[in-house]
Amino acid sequence: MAASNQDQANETISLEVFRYRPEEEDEPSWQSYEVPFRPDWVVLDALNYVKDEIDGTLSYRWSCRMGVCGSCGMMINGEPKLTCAAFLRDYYPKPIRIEPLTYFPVIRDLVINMDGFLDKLDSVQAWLIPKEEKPVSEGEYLQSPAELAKFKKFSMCINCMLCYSACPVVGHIPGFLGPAAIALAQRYNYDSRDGGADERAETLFSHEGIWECTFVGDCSHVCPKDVDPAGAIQRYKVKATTEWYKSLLLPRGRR
Amino acid sequence: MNPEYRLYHPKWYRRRIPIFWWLKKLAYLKFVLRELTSLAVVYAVVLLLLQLVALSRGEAAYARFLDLLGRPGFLAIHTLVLLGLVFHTVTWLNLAPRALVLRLRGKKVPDRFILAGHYLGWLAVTLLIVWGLVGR
Amino acid sequence: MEEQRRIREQFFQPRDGGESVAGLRNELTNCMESGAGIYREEASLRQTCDKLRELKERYKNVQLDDHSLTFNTELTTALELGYMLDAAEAVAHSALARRESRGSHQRTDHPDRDDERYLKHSLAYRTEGDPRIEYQDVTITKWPPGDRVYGS
Repeated sequence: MAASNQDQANETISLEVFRYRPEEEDEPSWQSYEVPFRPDWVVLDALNYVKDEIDGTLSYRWSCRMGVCGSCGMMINGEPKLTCAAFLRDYYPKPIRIEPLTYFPVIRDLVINMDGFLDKLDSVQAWLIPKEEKPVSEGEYLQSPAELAKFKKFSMCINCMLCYSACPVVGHIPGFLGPAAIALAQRYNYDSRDGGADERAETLFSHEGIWECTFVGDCSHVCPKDVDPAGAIQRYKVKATTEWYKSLLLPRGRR
Repeated sequence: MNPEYRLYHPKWYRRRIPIFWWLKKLAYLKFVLRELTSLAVVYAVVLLLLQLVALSRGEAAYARFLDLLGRPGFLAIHTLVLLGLVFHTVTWLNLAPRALVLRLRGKKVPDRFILAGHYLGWLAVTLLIVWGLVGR
Repeated sequence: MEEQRRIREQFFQPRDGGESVAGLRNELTNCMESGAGIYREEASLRQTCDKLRELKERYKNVQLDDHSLTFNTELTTALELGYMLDAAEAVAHSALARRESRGSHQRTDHPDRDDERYLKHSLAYRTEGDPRIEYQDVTITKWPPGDRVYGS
């Protein structure tokens, strides 16, 4: 980044960054940085410039810088975004306000604690529970393209947690399972190789499960991978309701 | 990690949610308005029940009821209620394809068919009610 | 405790003419890109090895802005830079020693593959100075060495 074309016009853009230094102060503060404006830069490039050239004390997460790892989620002008996917040119010349993802506790500067989210993934058992265990010698579990199409959308989740920052229910009810966890549970529920839907049901039906969702729909709007977690939740609500009616009306019959 | 440590970690900063959180984003405002129109639905149901009660009390009572509803104040309120009902219905019907995903012969039924089905159903029920009230 | 003391001494002391992590890292990038890139040859590889020696010396003077102990990513970056320098040395010295071309290691001054001398894995051992390069025989099971061509 530092060794780029110097004859470019010296345009700059201002970043207003949320700072929190727990060892020095109890309250967070704001710090402004002036960074070069390059039309091909994303906010992550600007943050890296700040860290390399201006202020090495700024802490933030990032990794792949291409929108697949889900590490760099932050609030940019109040919208949850991946900093590697937010171009400076979309905000220029106005200043860009950068804050940590909302509804998560802040450890330091732009770094949040996501243990709660990881626990929720555990509680919905977001992994394959095979219908029938097969030893490796018996070969692969086969799946047709049509069967894959049923859950493929939900498998695109990169665990970036932007949806949690968009969901006001998560903000008000921290125990709510949340969009990504339910979408990932559905990813396995719809997988033809999986037989764990009943096991996941208890957590999903629970008090802080799917029924806390009021279909605000912002989660699907901010999702960078088009997972549509809101759709996943509503479809599970439909399924849960029909299952309940079936158990009521056909107690011993088809389920 | 001890769960209590996580819940009450002394140095992790927890931001407060502002009272007017729903004014911060257009998406939130639209959501709150949608939810508020459910009050219009409640009102309409209660009105219908009161109408039935008035009907059951005989012609004079019913005539008085209709007179009351004819007053400009009520007409104004009911226009708003009608708008609220339409907004409520349209926003919820538009969300139907997200909840109802059907597969026909291995392929997903496109959203517009689900939408069309719901709107046609709404139209059919409306026409039925109108015919029942006005047709004969 | 030992490790904390080492880190404090190495990274948190104020120094005159202290080196920056980003500066050293950029110099490392340029040095490897020019000498140990896609096409390599003796002179530029030697230059790269010399430069790496210099960078490793300068790394001892690296200085951080961030002296905190909570999620200090500048510290982790500095530690990773140390490891990157080690890895770079292993790559550059092995490339210098391998006087042949094989797969993605292309030497313009030794364009052919030399199975007699170099059908071996390079092993780089850390020493007080430059890495020591030794060789280990390759175990060939299914695929014998062949020409790298695209298409059949």
